[in-house]
Amino acid sequence: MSTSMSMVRRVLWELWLPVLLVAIWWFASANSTNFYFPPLADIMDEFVDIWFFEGIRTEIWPSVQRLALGFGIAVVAGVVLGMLLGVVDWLDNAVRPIVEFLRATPGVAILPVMVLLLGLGTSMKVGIIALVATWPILLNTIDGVRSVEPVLRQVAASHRLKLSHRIRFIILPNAAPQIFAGARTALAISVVAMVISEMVGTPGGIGYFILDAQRSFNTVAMWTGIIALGILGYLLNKLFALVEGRALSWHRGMTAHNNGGK
Amino acid sequence: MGAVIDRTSADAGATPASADAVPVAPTRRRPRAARRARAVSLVQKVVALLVALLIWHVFARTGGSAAGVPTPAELVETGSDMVTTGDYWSAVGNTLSSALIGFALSVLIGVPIGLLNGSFPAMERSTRFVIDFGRTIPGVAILPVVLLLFGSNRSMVLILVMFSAVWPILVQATYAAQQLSPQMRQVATSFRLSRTSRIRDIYFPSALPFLMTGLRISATISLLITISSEFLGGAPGLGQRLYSTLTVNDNDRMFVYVVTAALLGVALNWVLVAAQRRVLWWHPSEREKNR
Repeated sequence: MSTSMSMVRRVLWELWLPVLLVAIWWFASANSTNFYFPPLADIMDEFVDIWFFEGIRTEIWPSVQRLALGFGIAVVAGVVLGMLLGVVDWLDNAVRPIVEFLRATPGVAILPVMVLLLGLGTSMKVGIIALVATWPILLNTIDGVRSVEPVLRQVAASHRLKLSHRIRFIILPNAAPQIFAGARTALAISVVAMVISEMVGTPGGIGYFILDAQRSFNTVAMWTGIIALGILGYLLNKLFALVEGRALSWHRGMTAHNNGGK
Repeated sequence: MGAVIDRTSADAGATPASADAVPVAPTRRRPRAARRARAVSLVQKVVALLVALLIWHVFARTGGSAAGVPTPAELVETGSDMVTTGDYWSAVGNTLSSALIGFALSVLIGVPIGLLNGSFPAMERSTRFVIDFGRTIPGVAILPVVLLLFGSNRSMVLILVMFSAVWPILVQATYAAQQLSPQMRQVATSFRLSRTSRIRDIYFPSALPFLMTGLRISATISLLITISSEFLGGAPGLGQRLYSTLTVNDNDRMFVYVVTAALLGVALNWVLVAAQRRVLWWHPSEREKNR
């Protein structure tokens, strides 16, 4: 389908609805005196003033740094523990109920505990992001490690591969698609955790900015913050897809080959 | 099915190549050995749980005592006092009903739109960007707006839940409608299946696995966002209790609410897994587990 349709047409197909929606918002709110829905034109003016580039530096960048740190900790912890549990069966069996319990716990419920232990500052914000993001990665890593084909395991055993080589050449590549699937879920939860932790914690960050604007009844600024947060979420997701596409390009090629495709 | 799989892995175990990696299949043949294996597995689980509780206890007595972390025994004591009060159950009830109503509304909105989207490529292409954008916005971002419009009540919670939980269902319903294999379509055509039979025997079963995935993700999100919006927006429920006990340093009760929220999450997950096993017992992903 994509070959028959030119790039331009595809872009037009995808863009007409968003453009229409924004246009409706723009004209419907043009002369709005409603306090909650200020004219979009005003919001855009304010948006440029607030976010370019002062706001990006003072609010978004610290948020993104905390997110990256928390998410990074979750990836390392999730993959390392997941491989351990994926390889050592009895350990996985023993701690499985505990892992399932922690995984099913809604992240906000842990937030008060984190506040109690770590206070309202950066360590709490990073900690809660790391904690909620670890579980999807951990469980997906276990599944990924388990999904290594028995024949491959046997080949590794009969060649007496060192553990480090087994991990590097057999376990990790096989589990990678699953790990990425888990990390994608984890990223979405991380962003939510980032926003909530900032709304609760000490001043600073985009979540705090939005809630603070609402509390001081500055609705225009609040709307710019929401739009900025929406764009940030979208860009993070795209960035992740880009990294995933690069890291797993060999895998897609292999599956296509195995299925008799291209 | 299970027997076939067992035999193949047992055969594989008999090959000399994996002499040290003997699979578990042979032990499963004898019921006594199987019983022993189950007992060992249970003991492992119990020991792990006891170790975790011990670590918690020690932490509460040492490093956590400054912060006021209760020991497991203290937690149980406070908890058993609280579960006899109507006040506690009203918080649980509020959270549970908000999450369920929000989830139901998300399903009612998400499934029809998703199925339509998957059936008409033009519609899917037109809405792709909007859906992509909508689902990446963290739901709590619009909390301040909704809070201004509705105040600290259930409507606020429901709007937020829908705004967050509708996307996974919508996306999965789109996949469900798209992934119907051409072979199945051809089978339906060549057997001249009636419309009802087509929907009942072909479309519905092939859509179900995708829909179940969407439902599971959305249900989890519903509970998370319900508690989050209660916590941040002050609507009655567990989230609001968590916030109020945190601000007045009532740690014992706060931990009971934390554990309650966790148990709700576990129960929800358990119900969803059971439901999935019931309706998808024929699907390869479920059959694998029954080995």
